[in-house]
Amino acid sequence: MTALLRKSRDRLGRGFVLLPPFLWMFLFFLVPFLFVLKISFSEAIIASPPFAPLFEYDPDEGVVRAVLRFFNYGYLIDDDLYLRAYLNSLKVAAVSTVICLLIGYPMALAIARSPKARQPLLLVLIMLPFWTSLLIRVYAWIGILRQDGVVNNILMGLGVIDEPLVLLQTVFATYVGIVYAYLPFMILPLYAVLEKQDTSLLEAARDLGARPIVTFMSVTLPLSTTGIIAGSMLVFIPVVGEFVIPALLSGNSTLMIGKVLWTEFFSNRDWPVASAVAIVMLVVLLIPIMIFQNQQSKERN
Amino acid sequence: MPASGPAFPVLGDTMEDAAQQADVKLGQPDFIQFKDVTKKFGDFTAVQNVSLDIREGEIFCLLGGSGSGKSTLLRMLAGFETITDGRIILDGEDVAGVPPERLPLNMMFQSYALFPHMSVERNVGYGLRRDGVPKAEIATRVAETLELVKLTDFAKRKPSQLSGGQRQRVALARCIVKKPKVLLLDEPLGALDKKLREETQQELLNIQRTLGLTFIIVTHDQEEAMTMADRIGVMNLGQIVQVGPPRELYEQPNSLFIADFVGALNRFDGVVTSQVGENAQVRVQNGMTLKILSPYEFNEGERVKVTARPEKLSVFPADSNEAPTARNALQGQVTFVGYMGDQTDYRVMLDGGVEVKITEQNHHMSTKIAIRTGDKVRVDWPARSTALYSA
Ligand SMILES: Nc1ncnc2c1ncn2[C@@H]1O[C@H](COP(=O)(O)OP(=O)(O)OP(=O)(O)O)[C@@H](O)[C@H]1O
Ligand SMILES: [Mg+2]
Repeated sequence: MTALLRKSRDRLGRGFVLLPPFLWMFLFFLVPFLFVLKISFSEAIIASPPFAPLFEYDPDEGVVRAVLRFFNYGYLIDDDLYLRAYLNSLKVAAVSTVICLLIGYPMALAIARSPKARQPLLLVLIMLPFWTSLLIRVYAWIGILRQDGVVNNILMGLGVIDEPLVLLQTVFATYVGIVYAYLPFMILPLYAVLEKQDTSLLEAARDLGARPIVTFMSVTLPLSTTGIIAGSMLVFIPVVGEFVIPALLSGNSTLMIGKVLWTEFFSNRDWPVASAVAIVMLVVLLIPIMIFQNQQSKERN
Repeated sequence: MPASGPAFPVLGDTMEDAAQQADVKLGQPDFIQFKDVTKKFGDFTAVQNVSLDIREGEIFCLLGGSGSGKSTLLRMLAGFETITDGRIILDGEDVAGVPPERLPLNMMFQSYALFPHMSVERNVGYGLRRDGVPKAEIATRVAETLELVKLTDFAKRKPSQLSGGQRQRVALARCIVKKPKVLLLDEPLGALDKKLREETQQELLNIQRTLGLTFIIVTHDQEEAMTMADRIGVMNLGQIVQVGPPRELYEQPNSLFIADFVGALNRFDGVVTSQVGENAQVRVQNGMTLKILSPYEFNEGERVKVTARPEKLSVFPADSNEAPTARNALQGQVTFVGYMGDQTDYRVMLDGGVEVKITEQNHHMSTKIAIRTGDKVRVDWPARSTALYSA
């Protein structure tokens, strides 16, 4: 009897601990998501808010009628602009993730292997850019990349080029901006796993005949997969929906779904189509998140 | 004998035969040479002027307290630490500047350092894959080695699915599969419980004999060093204090430090009252006089330390027969009796006010307790089992 009581009390305790995060997710993720989902099944009208209500009260029959309209989703399929934007966003996100990984891994490794006393300083340097608004930092890149900007001035000054290069409003500028902005999100989780790695494993590998590069490939790298996956997710997922950086640096060179969403929402004032775009994006992103989750639970077993 | 210099205790009778027995299987006497090796970490000297020769095929134990520099010495030999000063020669080659992967030795780490993402099999095969051994040969050698350490049934498991003792054996297998000339073991049995540790000591000895490896074992457990080693080097504060076979260290310690570190000890402070030939008399606390046989001459009136190991002492009921004159016989009262099964530990407060420890082997089966706490007893030991050190 007392055991039963204790059990139910334990369950109550656990529920108490889990309640705040659940409440948080419910209020700030699920509820807005349901709103967006609802709007995506609606129709654009000239009104405020600019979409038709989903539920209509029919006074003649005395019932509430729900009208689900799927044509917004059909529209996404009909016009290949959306498909191209999705695919291009995924491509930009994938390429940016790989670049971030290639630059971030050596940096994370260098920090993790530097003297313990110096690591906090190096980490602060990685996070320092966050102290300034992203918008300002992206504007700074405009200053660096434009025709009479820093890069062109230096290259011309050195006589490497005669004509200023067109850097801004290019795919190149998009990648520079995205990699720059998201690099810390790659470095921090990588650092976290690399810093925890037992250095005696590396010594054991050397002792057993592995050269440093082989030690890296066979011990360091495989033991940091969780960090690689976490960092890649943290870069890939937000970059797919990224709006600010392409809006400021890419011009028309890069078609990304975030910009399409913006245009639908604010320029076309077509909330239902914009909502449908958002819902599809969410579904597309759920796939890598689920792969990640799966990997994590496998890791634990 | 100058008053400040160390005095040496009497020579035992069978001291050399341990070394001679060991000699039979040993090869090249200067297989590994430490020549005046020093290691500094910044201002801190972790290893200081260590000179040491290790024979091929021997089991050498580095014994010392925590922080005495044992691991550091080993890590310099394995190529993981740079040598600040001096040279280390391994089989005729200077190890300085040779990366660890090219040294013909392997190290078993204190933490085992098993690769958590690889199965037992892959852990053991790791070194062979690095050496480019053909696949088929790797498979047979790994299987053989797992057989040797009795882990065949665990080949597919991950290290996290093994017990402490099994992990230890994987770590061992991973080293010996490479057939190195030298195996360095840093506290190989530290994480095991007493019973498992004793079993594993025997297994290690068997494997060492089968493969004819040179073992250098780091430990801070003097019993372990005694059981396993052909020779022991005792370290203190970064220096090697004494090197010798276990018996020599125990019976002929070259300093009070070693005498105290290796085994239990009774100590008395005293003053030499007379010495005729080897027969010295020392007055210790409260006017007790001890008879000591010492090959070294002391001045009359010199302050000395007297030591005697507990197992050299015997207790008798106070009213038993007198002891021969060559022995020390002191009266006292028993303060503690500890029955251990194989032996009994006594503590006796001597009438002179000094407490001594005595260990007696329980040779005969008996449930009768002959001597109890509070009994008046006579403590008795031969003059030749007592050592003298300048104070
Ligand atoms: N990398 C290092 N930097 C600074 N000091 C060190 C370093 N490695 C070891 N030391 C110091 O050198 C001394 C000897 O260390 P070492 O690890 O050799 O001791 P040990 O005899 O193996 O001790 P234990 O039995 O506790 O393992 C210690 O005082 C330690 O603090
Ligand atoms: Mg150590």
